[in-house]
Amino acid sequence: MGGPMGGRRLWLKLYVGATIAAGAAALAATAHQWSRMELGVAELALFIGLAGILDAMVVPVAGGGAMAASFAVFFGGVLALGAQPTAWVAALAVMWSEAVVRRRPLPRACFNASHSVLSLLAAGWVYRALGAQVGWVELTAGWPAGWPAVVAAAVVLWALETGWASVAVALERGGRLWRRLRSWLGPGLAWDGGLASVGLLLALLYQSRWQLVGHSGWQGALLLGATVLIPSALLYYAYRLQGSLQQVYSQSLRTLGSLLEAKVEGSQPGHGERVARLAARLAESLELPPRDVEQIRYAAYLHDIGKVGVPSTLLARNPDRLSAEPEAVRLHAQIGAAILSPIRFLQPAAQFVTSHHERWDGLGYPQGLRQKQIPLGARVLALADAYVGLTHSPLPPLPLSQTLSLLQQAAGSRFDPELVAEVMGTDLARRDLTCGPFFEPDDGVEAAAPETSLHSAESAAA
Amino acid sequence: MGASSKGYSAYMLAVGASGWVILLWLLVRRWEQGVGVSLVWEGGFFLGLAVLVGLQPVRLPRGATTTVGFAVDYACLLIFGPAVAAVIGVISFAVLLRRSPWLRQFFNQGQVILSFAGAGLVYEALGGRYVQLSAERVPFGELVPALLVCGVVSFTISSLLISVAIAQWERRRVTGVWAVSFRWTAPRFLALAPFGLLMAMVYQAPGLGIVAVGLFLVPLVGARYAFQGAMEMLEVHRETVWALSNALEAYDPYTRNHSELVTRYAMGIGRQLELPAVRLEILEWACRLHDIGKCRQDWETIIRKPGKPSRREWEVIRQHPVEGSRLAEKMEFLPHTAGEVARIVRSHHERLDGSGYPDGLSGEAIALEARILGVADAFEAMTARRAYKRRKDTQEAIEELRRCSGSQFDARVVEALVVLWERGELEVEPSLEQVSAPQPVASRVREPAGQAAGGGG
Repeated sequence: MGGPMGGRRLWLKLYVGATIAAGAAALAATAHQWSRMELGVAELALFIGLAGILDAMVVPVAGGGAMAASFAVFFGGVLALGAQPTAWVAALAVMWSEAVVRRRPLPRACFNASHSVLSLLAAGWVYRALGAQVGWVELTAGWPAGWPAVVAAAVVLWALETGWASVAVALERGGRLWRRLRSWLGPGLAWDGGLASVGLLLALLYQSRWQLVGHSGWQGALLLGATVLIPSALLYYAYRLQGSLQQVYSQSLRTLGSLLEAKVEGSQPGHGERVARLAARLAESLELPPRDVEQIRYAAYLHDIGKVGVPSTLLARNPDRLSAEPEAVRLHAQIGAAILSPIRFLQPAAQFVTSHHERWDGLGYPQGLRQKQIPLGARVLALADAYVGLTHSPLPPLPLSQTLSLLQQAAGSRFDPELVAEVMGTDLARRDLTCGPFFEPDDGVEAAAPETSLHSAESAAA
Repeated sequence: MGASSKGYSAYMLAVGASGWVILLWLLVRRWEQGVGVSLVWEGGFFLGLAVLVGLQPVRLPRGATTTVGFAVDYACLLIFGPAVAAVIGVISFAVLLRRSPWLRQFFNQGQVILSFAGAGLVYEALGGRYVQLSAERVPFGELVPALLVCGVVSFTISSLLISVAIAQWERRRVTGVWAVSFRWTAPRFLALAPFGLLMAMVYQAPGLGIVAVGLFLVPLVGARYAFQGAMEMLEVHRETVWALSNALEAYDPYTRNHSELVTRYAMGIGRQLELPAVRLEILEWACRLHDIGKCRQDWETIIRKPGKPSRREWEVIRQHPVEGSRLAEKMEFLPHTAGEVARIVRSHHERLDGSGYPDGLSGEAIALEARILGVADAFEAMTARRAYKRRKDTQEAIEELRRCSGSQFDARVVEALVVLWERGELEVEPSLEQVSAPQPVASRVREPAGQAAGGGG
């Protein structure tokens, strides 16, 4: 692996290693304070149990990464138990849920536990530095009472937890850090905001030793558990439902796209999926927001759907690379748009489908748009479509170097020169672009179509 | 509506009026128990919460709405007792339903009052106390049986009252309607009732009450937004899959509108057989996707070839339900019923006597929905205007179905179709018979001379 990708990987390893080392050191440093802490085994067990359960409630984030509901217990712990015991709680709970329950690789589990420990210690420090007392949150006596310390601790804990993981994702997948952070911000705020409230509630109930609500002993513990688990579970259920629906949606479009390929004469199995993969990667490297990347992906799955409306005998002709198509075939762009137009959610994608045969010099169809008049998504789609057409066609496919030089020749006439430069300038050009991202297994495309061993030599050399 | 409209209106009015009478009685009773300043401002706080939540309903698919306000309502009942809770419920319902017809508003006011009154009286009878009316802390831990019964009573009263209204409106049996609405609302109830109980419990904490209740509300609102997003996605998903699967067959003169019509016939039969809404939804998905397994380039050549299909071609034909169910499994998304659609698609060519394909199932082993889909599919195939076959008229098609019922088709399903036919519900408007596939706005496809494609309808 050459260049930026290799460099980034090294940085990722260093970053993960440093985090684990720092986390372990911090945890060890707090160990000697154990004797001074007045904590019962039952209380610790309750917190560890709750954190362990909530840490298994994980929802994915659009730009990559995931959020766990254990944030509630961590935050509540900082206020009620103090940062050091909570750090131990977090370490145990995260290691248990990551390494034992979800069977994640050990370095990853250690990394997640470590950044939680470090974030918790920092949040605890901020909480005490603002004059608040561990074990007693004062919210009602004398405005603003304990609110500034509580809010500051929540913000610090949230920002560090999120930031720590975002850096790892940015190192793993590329792209600028602040874009990654931004994609976490929207859904993350509602999620972690809700959980922070639950955490505060936990601290308030705990500090009264459960007397507040008229119960003590195991009844109180049960009540405390319910207070934390019920709202978190509700939040988790709603987020999970939303996330799984988005996945199902994407999969349905993928399936429909493959059906289209099965039905339309002369189309190449797996074409839409390859184009989708490449176009999405291009869009990501242009740092478009996740929502736009998704629409480009959807458009790619369906970009040739208009061909169901073109007589099959016209489509079956021998495809001649990059040459003009008969007019009836050209209509597929508009037919595709007409098919997609009733679906309001897919309006951006429909626009990309309409214009995916426009050319940078204005000689394309159907409208003869030029340059920036063509939507960016359509320009990305056109480039990806052409690339995949060249490298995965029934004709003997072109070698990568030749493909790239063809694309380069067409920059400024057919394609957006900046986009072509983007392809050439990044590590995208060094590998077969239609394969999956580096760290994720390639799922299914290769099975769909017999792969030419075209790029294996180059991959091996790189 | 028609004939039932009188009974329906009378019922709605009766529920509303009796609700208001009960409310008056509850209020007088509450007045005698003493009213303090704290009631006004604490009640006002909860009223504010309830209105806030009521202003943000979640839109469920097919036009229904719901709120997470049930948690707040339940907390109000345990804190203030039925009178205040009913007033808050009435006002928050008025906000939620502010654009509905007055009769519906009136009914819902009555419904909410009756359910609170019933729940409150039962709770009191079982020794329950309310936070605001009790001198010391209410030991909720010891009141668990009373709380449970109270929740069940409140849920039962309101779901029964609503089911009767829907049953009158749609002229269906109450038990059927109630079973469906129970399946839809029970999970929400189970999730939100403990939430309300917790709110009431922490509300007792001295000096913390309102703060703690506010803290509970944050995750509730967060969940509401995510849930709304999920519901929107569900709708978008349905719309997309149906539109695109339609488009895949729309340009083929042999299959144009086939699924659309099959869906219409099958849904008619399903309603006639009084399938619950959940099953109807599954049936509709299966109808839309039942022929998706035919998407392959050689399908037309195999089907249109004169003479008997070869062994290989026959294999392809027999495999299309299997292929279709594989694809349907990837595309459908119905909570709680995963895989049902695929199962129905797979067996829509099974025959009652076991001579069908692909699995050779017989009798009850074939899902009812699959039997319905099989009849609708055959009926559409016989009556559709096709290039290769004379179109049978409806009379002939029905006779053919009847002849084969018992061996190939389920007699009950066929008879349901006959009822639809006699009622004139099988008429297809010309627009659907000839229909057009989506065309580009600018121009139509010019067909080169000598091409067989196009034409048809």
